[in-house]
Amino acid sequence: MSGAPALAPAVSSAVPRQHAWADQNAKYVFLLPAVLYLLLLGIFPLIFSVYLVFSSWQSGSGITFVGLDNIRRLMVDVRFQDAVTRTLAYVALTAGLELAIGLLIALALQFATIGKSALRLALALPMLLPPIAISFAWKLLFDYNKGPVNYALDAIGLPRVTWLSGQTSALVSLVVVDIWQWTPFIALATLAALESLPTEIYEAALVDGAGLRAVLRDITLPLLTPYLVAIVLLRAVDAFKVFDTVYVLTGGGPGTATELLSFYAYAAGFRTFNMGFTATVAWATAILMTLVFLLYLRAFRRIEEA
Amino acid sequence: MPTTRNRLVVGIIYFVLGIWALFTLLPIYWIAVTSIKSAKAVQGARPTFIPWVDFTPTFDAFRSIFGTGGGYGVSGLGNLAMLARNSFVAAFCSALLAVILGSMAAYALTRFRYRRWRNNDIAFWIVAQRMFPPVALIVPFYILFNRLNLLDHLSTLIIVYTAGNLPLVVWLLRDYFADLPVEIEEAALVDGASRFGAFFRIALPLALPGLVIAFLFAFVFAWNEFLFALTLTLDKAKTLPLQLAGNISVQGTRYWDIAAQGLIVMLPPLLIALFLGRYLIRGLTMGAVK
Repeated sequence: MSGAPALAPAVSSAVPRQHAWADQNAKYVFLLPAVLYLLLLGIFPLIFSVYLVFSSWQSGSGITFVGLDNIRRLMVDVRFQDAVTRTLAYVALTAGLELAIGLLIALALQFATIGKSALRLALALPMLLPPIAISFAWKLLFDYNKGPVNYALDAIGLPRVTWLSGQTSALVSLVVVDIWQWTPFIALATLAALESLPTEIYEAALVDGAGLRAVLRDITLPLLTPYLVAIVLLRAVDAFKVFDTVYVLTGGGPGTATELLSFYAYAAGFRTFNMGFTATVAWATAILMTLVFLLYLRAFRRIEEA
Repeated sequence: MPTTRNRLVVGIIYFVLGIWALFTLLPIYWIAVTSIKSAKAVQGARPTFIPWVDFTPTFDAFRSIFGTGGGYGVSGLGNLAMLARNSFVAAFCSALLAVILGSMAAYALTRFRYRRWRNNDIAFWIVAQRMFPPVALIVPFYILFNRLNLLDHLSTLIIVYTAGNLPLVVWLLRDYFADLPVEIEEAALVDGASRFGAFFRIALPLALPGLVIAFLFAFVFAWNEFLFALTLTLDKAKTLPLQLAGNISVQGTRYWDIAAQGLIVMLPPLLIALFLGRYLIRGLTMGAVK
């Protein structure tokens, strides 16, 4: 044991030296794995898919350069144009309705006292359950012959609806499922925003004798608007990408009546094995999405300036 | 001041919330109740709603899934053990990898200053990865993994799901690490601990609840994923949602069977949701408010 005191200082100075390199570069050693991973699996495939826009790919022959063929085909593709219109309508409808209902629920939740946390939890469930399973649940509910929705319509004397096989009604059904699944996102995010607003302003206004409606209109909503702009944007980004519910509930049908862009991109390429064309549709979707959101943000900047 | 006016407001509030709660639970109830119906109860003249009241419940659908009393070929969940294993391994491994890579990156973003790219820009770049439509990635992934002979391999799903979940994990954990006091780590560094020592022995244990939450979120999203499973797997690496989607189109109107299968696929996310409780909301609305 006599050697121990002499060894101790040597060890403690040697340990930092061993780690010296890693420690000096810790900044990069910690961050780079994640960044490189995302570059490799996020950015690199995207660049590769730009190349695919100008190519065709077959399992046997590999990639052949085809120039502008895919883009030319896209330009005259009526199915694509329909999918664009339909997707824009879908995004506008879902985001708009979800904002209206979500805001209502958020305000109700804010004033609720009993069962608030249980309600929040129940509300959040649809976002976390497997889309394939819940789509099937909706398929049962919407069933023309045996579904409870049509049964309820019968009971109150309204005509049955072909929920999943009508030209318009099938798209409406997808919108309903989207509202069911994602309104809670807007409600809960808005609630979080509401709870972060300073309470002093409310108290002051209520002390001054302002009515509940006036407080909502003149204080809450203006303060909330910047949050709502961001929340709706996040929701719309996801609505653009909807795929699972379309796949299970309608398969894009009847005919092509519910082919939204993601589904069309998949169906156009994967079912006919024209991968270059899928890449083209996917990129067109991404560009369209970016354009829409730039316009959206610009519109709001203008409103805020005015 | 319980005035009539106030009572009216409270009434409206609970009416709105009650309606929405019922609407939310309706599909979940319906899939659960359908799973214990017999063929007769599903195909009868009018829909049946409540077990023991307007139909007699049966566990035949579950029996067919778990192998006893089944016997209609490809139906049921087919190879349930394999599908469940695939789904579990893909979700578990990708969530674990995402938490390992993500916690390091989140720690770095809250403890170091990056001058050239700025911390906020790096964080935004990481989150922005989630914005791009996944359908844009299915073709390059298909071709690349095909070339690597990795199509229909579980490792492919693990690799892809890790990338998909990494942004969420970084975002959640960045908040978490930012809220931890740095003093303890600084004291340890002064005492001669390395940066890695400070990370593994001090920051990570303190952040453990956050790591668990991030892991569970990543697990659920990987468990639920469909598009990549559909395009990158076929048979050996098939996951539960993929089989379920296939059964929905193949088995047609054997609703009770598919409902039971759907319920099984729903069960792990449902349990995790209940376990996460209030943390659930924070994770799901991440980034929207902050």
